[in-house]
Amino acid sequence: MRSRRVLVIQRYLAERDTSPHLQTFALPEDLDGSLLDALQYIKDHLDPTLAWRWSCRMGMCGSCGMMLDGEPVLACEVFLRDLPTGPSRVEPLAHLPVERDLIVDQAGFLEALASVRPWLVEKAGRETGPAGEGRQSPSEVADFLGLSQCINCLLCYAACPQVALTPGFLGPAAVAVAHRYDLDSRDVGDGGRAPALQADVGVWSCTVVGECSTVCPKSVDPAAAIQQQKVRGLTDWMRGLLGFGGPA
Amino acid sequence: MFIALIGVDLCVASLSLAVGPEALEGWWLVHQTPVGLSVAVLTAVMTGIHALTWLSILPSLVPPRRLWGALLRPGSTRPRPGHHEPLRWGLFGAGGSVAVLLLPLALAVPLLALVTPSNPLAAIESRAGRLSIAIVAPLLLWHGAHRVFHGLHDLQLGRGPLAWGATYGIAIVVTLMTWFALVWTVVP
Repeated sequence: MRSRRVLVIQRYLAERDTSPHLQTFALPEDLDGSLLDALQYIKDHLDPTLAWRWSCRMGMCGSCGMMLDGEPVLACEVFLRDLPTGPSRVEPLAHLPVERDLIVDQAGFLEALASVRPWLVEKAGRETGPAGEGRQSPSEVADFLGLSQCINCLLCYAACPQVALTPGFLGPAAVAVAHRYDLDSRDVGDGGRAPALQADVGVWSCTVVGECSTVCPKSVDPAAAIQQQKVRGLTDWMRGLLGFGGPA
Repeated sequence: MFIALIGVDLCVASLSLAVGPEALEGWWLVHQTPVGLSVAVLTAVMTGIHALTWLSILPSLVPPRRLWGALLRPGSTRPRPGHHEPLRWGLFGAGGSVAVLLLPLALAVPLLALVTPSNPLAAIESRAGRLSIAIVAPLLLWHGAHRVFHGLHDLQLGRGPLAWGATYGIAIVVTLMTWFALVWTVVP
């Protein structure tokens, strides 16, 4: 006979609690599905005050990021049948401020994202098709396609120790999306992104732990993006030293 | 850190060279003692394991070939005053790459110490040998220093002048000692 699955979930409600605390929930033996389904069950039948973010329930929207036994996961992509026996700990994403229960404050990330100007700056006189669409070969698309898959789930921020150690660090996802535009053949906006990327709290705070790429559910590989931006920073620096750097 | 240790070893070799031929023989004899051999083997093994990091990172470091021209395009930013992290990182990468390329040699040192009594010394005394050490040793020292510097920040021990001195400072001092020693016996 299967034992009942137990989830130990971090709770925090500012109006009621002085600090976060853990609450234990025992699930029915026959409850199957994802961790997200388990949270739905708890809210419907055990405790309606439990709060978390979710939307698509299929690994596309990036809303349901949380920590499961210390590892950042998307709740919709973890299945109860795959969990080890014994209680499982569910907590909000690490390294980010907690608003309530499993909901984190993303304001820091959104500021980092805005600072790298993640939009297309098109060169004048680019080659266009009959309807004015930009032209790109399949290999030009392949250069940045992987980086464009980011769903802003912030699992990489929870995984990166430098996010915790270095206040103001841009973080993996922000660098990855900036690099996505730098690599886009239609884009000439790398000069606008460089100041944020090349700051001390930009790519240079990364110490190549690599956990960001390990936990990314969309295989974006932000670690590679960061290292390539470091190479870019080095070549720009050397060019500047030799006297033919571009506009500041 | 083991890579930096190799750099230090090369510095000692240079100093021994400067002192005289007997000192250089003495330096090599130390490598043939049990302690010297153990350290050499440990260094080779640790460096070898660490080299796997380089091998796994290298492919991701290189952007698509089509974009290499973008790296050579006139720069997008002028370096900010006092912003030399790219240089420190670049030397760190160079030191790491040199360490990986020299890995076969590092692995061979313990074997050499057991087999040949004095052949490597002639190589060190030559112009080519001195030039090689003059280039390789500082890069190896810098690699260790840069990593330890950032490691101190990770251990929340700070990034202030003390951290600078304990890492880059020692690397620079040992480098200067090495260069001085290498030139000492060449310039009459």
